[in-house]
Amino acid sequence: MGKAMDWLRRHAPTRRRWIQLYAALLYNAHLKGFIQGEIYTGPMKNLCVPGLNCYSCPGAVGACPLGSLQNALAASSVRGPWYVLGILMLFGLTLGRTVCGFLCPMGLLQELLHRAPTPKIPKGRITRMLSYGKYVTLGLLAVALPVYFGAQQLPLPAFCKYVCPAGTLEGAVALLAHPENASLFSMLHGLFTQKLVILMLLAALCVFCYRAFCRFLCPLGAIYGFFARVSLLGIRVEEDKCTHCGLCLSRCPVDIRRVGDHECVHCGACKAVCPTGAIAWKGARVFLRQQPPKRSVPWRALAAAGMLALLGGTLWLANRPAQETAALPETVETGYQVGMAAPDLTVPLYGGGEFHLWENRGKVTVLNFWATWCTPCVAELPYFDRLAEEMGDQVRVVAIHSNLVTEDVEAWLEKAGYAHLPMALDESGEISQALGVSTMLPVTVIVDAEGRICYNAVGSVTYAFLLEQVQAAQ
Amino acid sequence: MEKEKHSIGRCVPWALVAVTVLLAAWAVGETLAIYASGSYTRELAGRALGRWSWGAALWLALALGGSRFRPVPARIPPRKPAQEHPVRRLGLWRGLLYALALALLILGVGNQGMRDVLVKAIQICTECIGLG
Repeated sequence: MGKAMDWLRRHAPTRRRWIQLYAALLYNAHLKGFIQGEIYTGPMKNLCVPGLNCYSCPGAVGACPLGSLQNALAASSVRGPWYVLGILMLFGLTLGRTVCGFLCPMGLLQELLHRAPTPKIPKGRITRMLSYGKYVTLGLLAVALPVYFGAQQLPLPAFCKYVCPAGTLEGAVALLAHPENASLFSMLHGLFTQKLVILMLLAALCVFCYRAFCRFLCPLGAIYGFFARVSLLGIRVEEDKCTHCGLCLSRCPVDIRRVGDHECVHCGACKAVCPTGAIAWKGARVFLRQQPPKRSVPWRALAAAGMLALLGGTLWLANRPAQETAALPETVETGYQVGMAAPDLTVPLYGGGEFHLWENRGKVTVLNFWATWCTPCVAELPYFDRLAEEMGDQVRVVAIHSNLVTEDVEAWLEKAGYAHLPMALDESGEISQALGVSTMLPVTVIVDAEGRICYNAVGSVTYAFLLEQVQAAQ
Repeated sequence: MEKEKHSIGRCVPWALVAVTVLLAAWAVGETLAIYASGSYTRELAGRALGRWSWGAALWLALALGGSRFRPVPARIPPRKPAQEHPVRRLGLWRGLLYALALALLILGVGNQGMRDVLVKAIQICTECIGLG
């Protein structure tokens, strides 16, 4: 028993580790999502979390700041990205790269991987040079590409799409692990393979190299690094006590030139080795009282209670039973699954008129659910337009925009110029609900001439695939 | 100042790792471009990734070669005097930046930017998680 207690004492998590675990749990407090295989869709997602946490994770209760930044930049021709920039500034000014050291789940995972007992690659000139790679990633993938393609009405969150390991691990793997999402396996193509390879490579690299993703690739770390000098919290050197022995630099696992610079993740490893106690936490006088006066407010107890209350409140809000949804109108009696009779739908068209599904019996009907902010949706619209042009006499094609509108869809359509494809807006969301469209886009539904659903799936389609499905339905 | 001895041997494992990752990035980029299935975006991104990886490999090779000739001082030079960054000036900058951040937040809420964040966050981003 004594040995066990001794082992526990020696291997107990540090305070920083507890804070990292707390943050990871707080960001992913929607535990119900892991059980049900669904993501959280509540109002807490109006807010971004400080660290890198994919919002497609079933447990995520907040938005990812990096994903939100890319989407905001992609839509910057319509609306300025002020909200996301303001949030990033607020986090940067208050926390700086303390987010990396204390509040980022990806940082936690990398540190845990690095604990594997293997030879380690020391930092040096090469890692220092590679550490500038994150600025390249920020400039190119997180800023330039989204802005460039967004201006062409093709929103492209390039970092999320091509690199981000958080999306692959927390989003894809977490969703695919649930049996309810087995249908998603049909959507796995080259992109997933590419992202999985990147995830595996980064995971392997992190075993040998401390925080390889943070140091060399993470654009969020690059952003927070800009606020190194002005952030309220973090680590700093007291110049009057410093003897410039360099022990802090040699002990530091990342590529700093000076304690607290833009590379410092504020892990506090240097603080333990400083012989003169010259390294301290910023704001220590306010947040870390060494010798509290006799009659004082128990700030630590209050802070701990506040943190517990925040975690408890988030867990309750994210996992409370959902409110009952309103009953569907009687006309929607049949169903949306393949083989069922499609419900009668009426939806107003842009440019006037209405579309009635049952009026088109005798013809195959293709319905495409899309949105302007969804890149794969926008990328496949030309195929539906071509289908409408070439087979308009045999097939009725309609593209229905989601009720989640972020810009003037009519103006967008005018600019895009789809001459043959009728467009509609599902303003109330009832059409989407009736046809089983959930939280993923694009969705294509094909109804045969007798009104039966013969195809209803999430995911991008090609023209050849559409043609094949339409011919099968005829 | 003492000059640190350079050992090209220490660079070799890193060079091998870097070249492997870059070759993998090039291969992925070219494969993406080949299987772009008529998508201009994917082809462009694939080609860019392929070209970028070659550029990065060249940069890395030059840096590795050049790094042998730059000495690293054994002792860290002292920091600039604190008078160049007085606390009051820092506090003023912080205050201004906080005001700017709050202004951006208010602007962002007003122009529906917050709603845009919600709209994207409550939908599964299939391309972000690699599902198409």
